[in-house]
Amino acid sequence: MRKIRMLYLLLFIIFSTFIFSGCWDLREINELGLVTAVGIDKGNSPNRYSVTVQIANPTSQKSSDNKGSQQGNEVWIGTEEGASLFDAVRKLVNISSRRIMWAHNNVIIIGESMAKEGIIPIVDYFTHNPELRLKTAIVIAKGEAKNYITAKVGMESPSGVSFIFLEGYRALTAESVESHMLEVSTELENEYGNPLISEVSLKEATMQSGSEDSKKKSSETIELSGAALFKKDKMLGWLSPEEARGVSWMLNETDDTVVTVTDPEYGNKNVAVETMNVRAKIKSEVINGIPHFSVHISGKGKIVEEDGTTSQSMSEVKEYAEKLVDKKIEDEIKNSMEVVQKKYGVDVLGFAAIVHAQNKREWDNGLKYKWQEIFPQITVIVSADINIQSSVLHQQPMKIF
Amino acid sequence: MINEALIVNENFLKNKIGESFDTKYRSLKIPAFNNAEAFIVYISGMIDARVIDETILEPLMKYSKLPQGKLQVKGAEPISILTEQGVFTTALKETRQWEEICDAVMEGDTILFIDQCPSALILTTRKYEGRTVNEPSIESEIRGPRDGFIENIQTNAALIRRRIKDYSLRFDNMKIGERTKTVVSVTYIESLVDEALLKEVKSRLEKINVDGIIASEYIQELIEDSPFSLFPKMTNTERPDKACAALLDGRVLILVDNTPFVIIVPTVFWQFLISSGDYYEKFYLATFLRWVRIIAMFLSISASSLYVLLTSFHQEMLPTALALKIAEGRQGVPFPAVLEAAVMEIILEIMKEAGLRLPKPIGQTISIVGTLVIGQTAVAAGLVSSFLLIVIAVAAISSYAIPSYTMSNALRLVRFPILILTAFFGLLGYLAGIITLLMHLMSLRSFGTPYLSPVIPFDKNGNKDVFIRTPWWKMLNRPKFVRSKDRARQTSNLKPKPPSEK
Repeated sequence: MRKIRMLYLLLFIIFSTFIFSGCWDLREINELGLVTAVGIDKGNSPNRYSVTVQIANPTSQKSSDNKGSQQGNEVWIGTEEGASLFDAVRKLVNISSRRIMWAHNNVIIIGESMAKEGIIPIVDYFTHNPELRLKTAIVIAKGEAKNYITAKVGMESPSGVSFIFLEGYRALTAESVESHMLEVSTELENEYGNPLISEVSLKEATMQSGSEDSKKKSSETIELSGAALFKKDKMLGWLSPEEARGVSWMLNETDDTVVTVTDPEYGNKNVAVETMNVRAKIKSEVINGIPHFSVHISGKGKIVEEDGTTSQSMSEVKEYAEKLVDKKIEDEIKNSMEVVQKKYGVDVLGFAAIVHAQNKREWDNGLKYKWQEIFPQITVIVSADINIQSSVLHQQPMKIF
Repeated sequence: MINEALIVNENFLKNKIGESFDTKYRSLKIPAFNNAEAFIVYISGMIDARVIDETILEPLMKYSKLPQGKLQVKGAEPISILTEQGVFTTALKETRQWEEICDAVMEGDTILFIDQCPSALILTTRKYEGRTVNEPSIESEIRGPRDGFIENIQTNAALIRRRIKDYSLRFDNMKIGERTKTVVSVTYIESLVDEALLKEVKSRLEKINVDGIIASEYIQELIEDSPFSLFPKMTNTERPDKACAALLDGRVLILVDNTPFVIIVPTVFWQFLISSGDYYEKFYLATFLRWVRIIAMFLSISASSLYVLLTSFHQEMLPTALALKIAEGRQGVPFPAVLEAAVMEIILEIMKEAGLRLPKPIGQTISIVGTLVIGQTAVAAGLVSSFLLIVIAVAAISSYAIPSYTMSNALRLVRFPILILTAFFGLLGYLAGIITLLMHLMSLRSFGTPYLSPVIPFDKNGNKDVFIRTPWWKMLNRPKFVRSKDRARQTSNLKPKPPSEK
């Protein structure tokens, strides 16, 4: 009898865990506001943040009768201000009617003025948040981030979702750098790290929708090129697309990147070379207390365009193209080193870590205490060796007789 | 013991087995024995009238070798004359026991009583109306033999005999059921079977003491291990080829009269994912199909749970584009995903059940109502999301991809508790459900064999026929978990090769 009573009690306890817990954590997907992009600016008064979110608004299937005009999903954009980021985000609920969910966020856009003031609050908020992924792209906007949330990205309409594509093809030109939450936060937590974050700017683009010419309109689209250079959490200035590319070579962030060189022997015609498997090797050596670095770039390439006509064989073309490409890469790196070292004097490339690893004794015996002063004095010797292997389809340069 | 007086016997029988319309008592006089009084008794629906006419009545009336009128009929003499001189061409048996006589009548035999004889003759005249052997309806295969077991145990035994001509094939019969007296036959190959297994099967069968056995499923329920478990611990098959393959593994079959399904013991979980068609196709395809079935099994248990899990709890696990598509479909749906899924699952079960019972001409209606009305209009009305319908349909179709009907029924029931757990606790609940399910499966046994063997506990040889179907020339040994006396199935180096040069 007692056993049976105990059994009933046990069953009751188990059953009540279902009843009293309710549907714990249940949130229907259509009751969530899936954030696809977020922009963060300084608020109107000091010490306030302005958060602009772009939320994908999945339209009901039934309402999409006029198919042609609706490409993809609509987005909903809301802006709120708060004393802290969390405060601002929570206030969004006042206007959004849906709970904000960060798990599908693709990009965090930070306004220029905010970046100059410091990005610690942003990095902290988004790494504290369990919903947000560390692979979220983070970019610095020229001007106000708010404007970028409303802008189109390429051919796709909800800009946040499509930003991934833009970011995915970054390496083809390598005019920006890889900057995700993971990289930025580790750089910030690293003793000698200084983050380098990609830059976005707005560009006029002409859109033509449908067949009607009257619908031709111009709008702004996001362009990912260039980079923002940070000293710790504060932004110092911009690197131009060319300078960002020089940095990219050293950071191993190129992939199928095109190098165009002009060849002076044949009437200044262009040769375009697509580089592949490019690897940078950086070695350090400390002489008289000053670290010297040698950067060696090696990789393969193929000729994808050859504008001149010549009677030379392809192998000869390859030979001089190789030299020109090597020279061009070396110049690009030297130029960007000049800017990084002399103009800003901030070690964004992680040279400190290289010396630390390769010359530990010298590093411990003093270099680490005065790295800020020494960095502008270091010398960097650059050498590039791109081995052109094929010319894709053409076995011979085109000839005109 | 039967009496010598004919009239006493007749009255006794009439009292014992009654005078129903089909119970025939026929009196006759045997000229050969001085016109001795005699009678035969039989049940009309269960005998072959031609056999009675030609092999019993005719010889009795006309037998000329007997010196007419001169014979002194005394005691058991006429019976022994009839049996020894080969008057009857049908099988016969002499008896004095009433029980034996009554049982024989009930089984369709004819009994001959002769006046003043202390014993009676049982003459085999059985003939039942029944189906002929035709194609199995549940376990149909594209290739392989087309015959299936039928209700008649004699025919079923013959179907097995025709495939296995081993001398040590045994059919050990017993009668189970106080009133039905159903013939149950324990079938095995004596030189392969594990004695302990055979003993266990027999002792479990002997323990059965019930009124009646109508079908083999009764037996199954009465001898099964862990009777409260959802999962079948015995295979039911209507395919003689599958039954014979089991015999060759060293397993034991239980044939039950009046049932076209033969029971195979011991059975492990994985057998329900194996169809006999696997052995009639190339092993690559068979292996591929097994994986298809494993995926189908997983989907049939968890498709609807995963839908609830992803849409109501863990939206971050979806790719963005898919999340938006699902959200788009769920726009304006008034129920939570859990309720939506549960309601659709139940509607589907109702449709399945209705489809089973509907007369064939109306069957069409169900499919139209099912697909059009419930499917399309529910989505159009915004009551359910179209994505959910896909999920439910996938789950339903998947459950039919499992070769065993019994197993797919078990899984059909398992998915509701998992759905409920998922609805309350999300991923946590789903995993708790799956883990509990696995733990339960691991705790089961079928006649001493762990239910998940040969995977758990692991047996290399047994695994040649679970997740992959190795070619026949590689399956050298019988699976270990059957504990056959003779492990080796065949000699090695059977792999076909070109003739050697030497």
